[in-house]
Amino acid sequence: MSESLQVLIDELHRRSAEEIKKIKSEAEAEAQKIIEDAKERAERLFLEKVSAELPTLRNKILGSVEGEARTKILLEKDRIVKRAFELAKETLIAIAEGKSGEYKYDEILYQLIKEAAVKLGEKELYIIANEKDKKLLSSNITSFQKRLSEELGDVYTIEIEPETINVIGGVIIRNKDRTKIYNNTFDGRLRTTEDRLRGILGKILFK
Amino acid sequence: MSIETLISEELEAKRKIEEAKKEAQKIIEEAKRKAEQILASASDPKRIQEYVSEKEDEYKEEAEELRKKYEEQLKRLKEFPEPKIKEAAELILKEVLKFE
Repeated sequence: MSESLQVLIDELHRRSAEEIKKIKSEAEAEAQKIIEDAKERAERLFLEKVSAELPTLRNKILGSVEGEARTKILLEKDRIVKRAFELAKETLIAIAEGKSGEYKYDEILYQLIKEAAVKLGEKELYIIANEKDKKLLSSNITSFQKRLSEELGDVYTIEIEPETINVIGGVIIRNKDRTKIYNNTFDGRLRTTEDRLRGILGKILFK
Repeated sequence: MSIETLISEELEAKRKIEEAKKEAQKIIEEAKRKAEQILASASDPKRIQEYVSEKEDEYKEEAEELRKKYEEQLKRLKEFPEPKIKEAAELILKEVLKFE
């Protein structure tokens, strides 16, 4: 009896010790989970609170630097493109003054008239030009008329208007009743080219 | 050894288990108290301010890097080679003097 009772007591001790160990370890695990969950939740809450402020702060600090720098860069690029147009204009002035070895201005003047005649679809042409070009046109008027007629296959007449315009070179041409007008001056063509090429030039120059 | 001893041992074991349960409860209560503190720290203005200041410094460094990058770009543009501008001018001239 005594020996079997001892066995029972030992078993009782073993089981109770096991149960106590289990209770403690479960409690510790649960406690750890409570703390870990709280840490995660706290981190999430914290980030939610601060992240509302951060994009505004970042934009404020970086945005001002970026905005200012981009403006400076755009202005510099614009200066370079303007310089290219300025150089082109200087060459056009030299051409119009007959100082270019590469281009013959009287030939260019003829091409400007021919193109305008085609665009207007008129055969009686009235030309307005600057003072210097008026003289050049006067001395070439007969040959220009003849050449136009030959190349365009009809009879063309040219009249030089008494009024003058202040341009680098080129012509403004109108029809007889002034219902059609075509600006083929260097200045006008340069402006049109600028409108057309500005974007493309930017890409070519700054690629 | 008698049956009374066994009963007494059993009662003692039950007492120890009850004590362990109370201890476990205390551990969990303590954890809950700490969890509340941890959660409260999420709204701690001092901690928020410190974090924002830290981020502000990071953004300033980032901005400085950005400024340097743009300065470099601007420097290259200011030293833009004249021959390239002349090439562009020639392209413009060709366009102006291109007849249809």
